[in-house]
Amino acid sequence: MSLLHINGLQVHFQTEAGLVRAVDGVDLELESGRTLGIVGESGCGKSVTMLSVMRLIQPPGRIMAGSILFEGRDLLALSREEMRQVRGGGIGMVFQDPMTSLNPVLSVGEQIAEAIEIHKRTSRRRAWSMAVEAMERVSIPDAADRAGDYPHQFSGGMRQRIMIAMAIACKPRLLIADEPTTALDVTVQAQILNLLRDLQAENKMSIIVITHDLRVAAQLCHDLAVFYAGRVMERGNAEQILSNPGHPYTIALRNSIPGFSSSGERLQTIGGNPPNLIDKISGCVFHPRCPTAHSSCSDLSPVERFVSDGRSLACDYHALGEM
Amino acid sequence: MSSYKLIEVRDLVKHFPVTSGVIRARKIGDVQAVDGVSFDIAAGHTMGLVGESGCGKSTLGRTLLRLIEPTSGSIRYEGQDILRLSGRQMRPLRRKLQMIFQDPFASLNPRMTVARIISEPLEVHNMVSDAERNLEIERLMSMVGLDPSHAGRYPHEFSSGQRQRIGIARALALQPSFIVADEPVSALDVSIQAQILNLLVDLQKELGLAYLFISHDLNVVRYISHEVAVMYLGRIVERAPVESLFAKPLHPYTQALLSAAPGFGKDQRQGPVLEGDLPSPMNPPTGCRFHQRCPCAMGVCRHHDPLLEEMANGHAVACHLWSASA
Repeated sequence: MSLLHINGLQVHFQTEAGLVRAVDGVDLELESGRTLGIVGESGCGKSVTMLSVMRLIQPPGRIMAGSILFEGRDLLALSREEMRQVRGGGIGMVFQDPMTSLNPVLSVGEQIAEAIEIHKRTSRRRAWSMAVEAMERVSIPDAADRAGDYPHQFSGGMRQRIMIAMAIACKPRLLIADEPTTALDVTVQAQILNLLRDLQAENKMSIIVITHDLRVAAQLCHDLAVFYAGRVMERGNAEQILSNPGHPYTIALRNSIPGFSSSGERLQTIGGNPPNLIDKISGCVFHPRCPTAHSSCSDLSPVERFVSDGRSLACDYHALGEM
Repeated sequence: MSSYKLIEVRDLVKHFPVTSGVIRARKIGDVQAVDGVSFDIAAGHTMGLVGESGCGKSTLGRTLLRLIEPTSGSIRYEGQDILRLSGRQMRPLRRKLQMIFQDPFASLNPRMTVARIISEPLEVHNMVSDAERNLEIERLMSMVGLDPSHAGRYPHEFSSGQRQRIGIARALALQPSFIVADEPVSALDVSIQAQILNLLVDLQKELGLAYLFISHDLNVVRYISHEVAVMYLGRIVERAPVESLFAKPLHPYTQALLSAAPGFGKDQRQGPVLEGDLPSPMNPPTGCRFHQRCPCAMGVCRHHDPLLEEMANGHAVACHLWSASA
């Protein structure tokens, strides 16, 4: 049984300008002990999908349809109290910006211990020592001394380690990291990616990484799901998708990254702009920008189909090997 | 493409004083944002400037345009030291030296139409008559790939990539020969990033522009630059033609930076992952500024500051491993 199984998820936001279909029928599956990368451009629904898993969608957003099975239980059917146990207990989450997601007036030790107290129902003293342990696990030097320090006394990379310590303090089975390295410099990014890999090897934890950076996904992930306009365009084994992408969007996304094509060559671009999710696009959501669109692509919405072992595509025309 | 030296920078220093005390401010130190930097940029060429946040790359870019007054050093534009010019003498030169900013949301006035944003510099410098103005706006908008019929729209009506095009059109309005582009694609999605990079390359070929291209993204810098300078704590630690830098990085910091940038394969990372963070530029380490994080540090590195020395074919490095005198 898979650890997480998302089926037909739809999340809509009612805005003044109209109904935004941020997530429009997403299916995802994650086996335990694996890392899934969710890639796509801004506004493609990758963060909203993961916030739905945590049930952190705020009005005017609403989960309209679908199910999210975590260890066999539908998270969307849980009571608020049951969901509180899952958040931070079964599923930990790391947010993008370590500057704004820590409370500036509490010491980092208190912030980590707070989560432990709630979930493990332990004494303050015990929670504090578990917080220090969590800080040691994310390789913060002198953890026992530094637990009393405040967020501003740490560098960006150290703050991100503290966010990770907080998320893993209660030993979750699933860690969701939303752009965990986007705000960091490359050398610090490399440290954090190594840390996530080590933590997974130690704890057999599953990880979902949301990223716009295909290279980060290539480094870290076993599986990949490529999002566009609130839908999954392609998913499957990360290495296979990157070396032999099947969907025209994945191909275009990969080729627009400098350094992928040999230097000196002109970068390939995706024409046009990402779609505005208010206007409903008929047929395939990518067809207005697709370089290989057929006439029928504007009428028929493609159905996700499996093309090879574990690899699926939402495109009626492209199959592997036809490129 | 002509290749005379358009910009010559020598021993450029910018220290920001740090003060303490509310009633009587006392100076307690200096942030040595740029500390003795020298390089040239040839006309029509791109110098890429890379480094981690806080290394002084943005300060350097702004200092080149005198948006920040340097503490000491010289900046020559076509042989003329622009730091000796008065504000009035500087004005005609400002036309030639322009800037493109990182954030296409914050760098455009939300209350101005695109036409006004683009034409404001033209009016300030009396470049065109009222009659020609609309034609010029149209020309600039088409040049950067915007629809001229959108001239009456406001910035919020455009996507981030289009907004960056507006910023580029504004910089091009005065027919500059040198543009400082400070992280111009960092805020954009990859598919849009590629469009803007292609546009910058096309404009360079068409107009013979020279760029100082500041970025933390090594792949972007590699794509667009002819020469690359790597900055660490206010100093240039390595400078080389782009192929040479990426094929054979000499400085341990450059090597670490290149190996840290994720590639497409898994675990193809060679070389060590750097430990620790950038030290405070307020009191940088003595000797080589990188020695505390350097995997190859030697005794001499702790006490003696290495100079930027030319090795071969324009490849210069500031490291005792490569210096003949060490």
